[in-house]
Amino acid sequence: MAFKILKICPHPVTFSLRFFKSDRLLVAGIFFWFCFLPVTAHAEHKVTADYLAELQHQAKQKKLADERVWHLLLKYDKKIFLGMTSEADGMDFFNSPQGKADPESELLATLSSFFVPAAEIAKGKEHPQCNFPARFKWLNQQLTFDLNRLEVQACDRLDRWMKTLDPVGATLVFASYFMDNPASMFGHTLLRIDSRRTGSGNNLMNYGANYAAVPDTDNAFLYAFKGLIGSFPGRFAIFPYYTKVQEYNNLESRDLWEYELQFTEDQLNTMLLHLWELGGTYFDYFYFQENCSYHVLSLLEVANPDLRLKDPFSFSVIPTDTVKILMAQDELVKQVVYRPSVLSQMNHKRLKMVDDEKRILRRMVKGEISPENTAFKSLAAPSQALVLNAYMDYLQYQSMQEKSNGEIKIPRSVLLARSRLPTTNDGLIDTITRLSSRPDQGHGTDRFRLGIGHNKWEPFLEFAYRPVYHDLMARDVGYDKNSEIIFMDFKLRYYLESDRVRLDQAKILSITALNPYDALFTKPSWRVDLGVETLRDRNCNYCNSIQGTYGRGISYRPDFFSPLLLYSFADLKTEFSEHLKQNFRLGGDAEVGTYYDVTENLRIKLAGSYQIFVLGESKRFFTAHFITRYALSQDLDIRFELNRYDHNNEGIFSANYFF
Amino acid sequence: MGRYSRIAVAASLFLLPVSVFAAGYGAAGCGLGSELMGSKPGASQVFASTTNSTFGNQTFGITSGTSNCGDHGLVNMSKEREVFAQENYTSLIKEMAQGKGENLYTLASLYQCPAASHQEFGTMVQEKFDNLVASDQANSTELLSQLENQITRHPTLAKSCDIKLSALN
Repeated sequence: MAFKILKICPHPVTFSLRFFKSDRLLVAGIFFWFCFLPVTAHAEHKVTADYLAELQHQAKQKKLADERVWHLLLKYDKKIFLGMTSEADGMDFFNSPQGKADPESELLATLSSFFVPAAEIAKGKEHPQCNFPARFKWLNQQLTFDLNRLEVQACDRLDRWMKTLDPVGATLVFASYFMDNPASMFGHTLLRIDSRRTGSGNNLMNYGANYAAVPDTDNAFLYAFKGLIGSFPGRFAIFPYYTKVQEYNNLESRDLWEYELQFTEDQLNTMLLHLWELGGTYFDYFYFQENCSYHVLSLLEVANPDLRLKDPFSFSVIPTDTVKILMAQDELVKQVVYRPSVLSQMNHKRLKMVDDEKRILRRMVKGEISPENTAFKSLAAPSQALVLNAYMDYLQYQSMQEKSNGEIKIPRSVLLARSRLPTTNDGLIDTITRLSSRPDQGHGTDRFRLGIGHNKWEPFLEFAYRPVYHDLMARDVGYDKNSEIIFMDFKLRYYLESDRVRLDQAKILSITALNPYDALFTKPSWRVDLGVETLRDRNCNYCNSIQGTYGRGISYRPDFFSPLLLYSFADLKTEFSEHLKQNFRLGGDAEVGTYYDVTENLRIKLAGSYQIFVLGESKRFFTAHFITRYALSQDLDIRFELNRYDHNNEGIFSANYFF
Repeated sequence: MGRYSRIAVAASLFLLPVSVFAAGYGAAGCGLGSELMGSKPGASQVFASTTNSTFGNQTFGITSGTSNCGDHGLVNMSKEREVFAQENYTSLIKEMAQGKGENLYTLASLYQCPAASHQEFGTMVQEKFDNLVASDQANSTELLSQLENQITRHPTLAKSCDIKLSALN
């Protein structure tokens, strides 16, 4: 029927009155298609081609491909040997086949992709305008598209995504280290998108954007190695923030620090459109360079291109560096919020307990008494509530650790007992005792050391550099008080009289975790050390050895905030050197020592050990160490050391600068 | 592996929209309850966690378009409550027993209870804890249906909250 009419191509208005509305539209549409499309399509094609050429010409004239924003959006970066290259490795990220290395060809191809007719888009695919909304927005700002000549496509999924996220703020979330895991000291960063929809007090309901590696192995060594050389793909993901709070705060029990940032809504809008573009691509994940922090900083730069956050980074981007750099910007950080982990919450309650309460909690944890027990019932109601609150934190933490596929539950009997007691104020709401300190107030992660010293024979100068991370003699604000992790620490000495430069020490990797004794968690202290050393217990002209150490021990701190830390270790040790008989020695040592904070800036270490080597070249000798450190500022300290190895003594005065 | 598979908490990952057709862009992948590896605390895992600490985490078996998620890769508005309660179940019942807490107040907001009524909400769930968590085998779905019962019966919360609207405004 419709065809009949259409064959004669009447004026649409004259026949349209004879149809219902829906039919009318359909018919009108088909009619136009048949009658005018050949002409319009051809004309339109010409208009399109002309307009595209015009835009491309303008873009070239304005040198848009050289603009910082374009480079940020496409992740272009000047690489040594490679010139301008995009960090994105998923080729869908580019419209031009040369896009990865040619910003201009990518820009021209992007403009041209915006003109693709919607009809040509394959089913299940999105129009380029919908895939690259941030590029569209920026190019439109630069070139002011004539919307009569460039058809704007409807992007339904993107619109719903943006409407749900509806950003009014952005918060950088820093997850600190977790117990007994110095490696986690590096922390992790993600970005929370604060929505108009959630309002204040409902931050858990906001979404978080996370950049993470997608590894293909669960072998720990391969995992670390592949991470270093960038052979995992890294991807962005978005999820409700509460899932991350559960994961970091509760499962891994890491304190979270939230840095609320200052951005305009338009900037946030751009950032989200850019994030949408990133969703479909991946990057090679480099553990020290292109990691979570690096990419989060990139997002913030897209939001506000005037921020220059990535430039200062040379070798590595470490999460703590990112929070420092944000704090260093003018008026970027609005406020810092502390979100204690489940363990911190428990320890906070334990700090408030009197001895009786502590004892009851300990017995509960050991399973000796239940909430029904008279010993428990003899406590006053507020005490009972405090003990049960701490106990439930403990159970939640433990159930998270359990290797079971069962549902995680705190026994109902415990919950019920607690529900019959009044609401208490554990002080968590008003004044939280911070069991970790602000990461942005910690010292820099790189360290340069300049020292002057004298050994048994002659004076020397000492130069040392390491990229990461923290040692136990450094000021520990912003770091785990009981751990150290050192990576690639190279120390050279210039001996003045013998006029020689020697490699004194190269710590490839050295980790110490002093886990102070805790009645509720019996975790041993442990340490591992791998690197090049000088054989200091003998006179072989500062000859080197390759050594490895692994040990376990016990540490004790009277309470969490006590300035005193005692430790002891029993280590296995092996050294290889051509200066040793049979070229090696194998044995161990027993060490005891103490750290004491006289003031926040003045720390003293005293330690002694007895070394026993039984295989290879056998030898027994004592070592003793006395070290003091005085911190002059966040990033500078001076140290004085006296060391004795067997019968060789040395004294060193050094300045350590962190950056 | 597998130890976290029932803990949706572990690493729910809502991938940003990724095409179900080949690589690139298109329909969103969205999954809850994916697994996490490499962040087992402890010395034996030191290398895995070294990398993990900056890697964030990884997921496996991302399911496409579960009923909790929309094709835009975010939680469906109609499922916000259920997903929240399931993910934060342990924290929630702990706070219910204590009569206060952030997760609890967030849940109250999901039931449209105004901030002024949150304390009352806390008192109510603490008093009715018996009914809310009926047994050790209870789950988040039962918790919510019991909670809705109690809200409806409560003299003031029944008026100030709204159990029909399932998302934040």
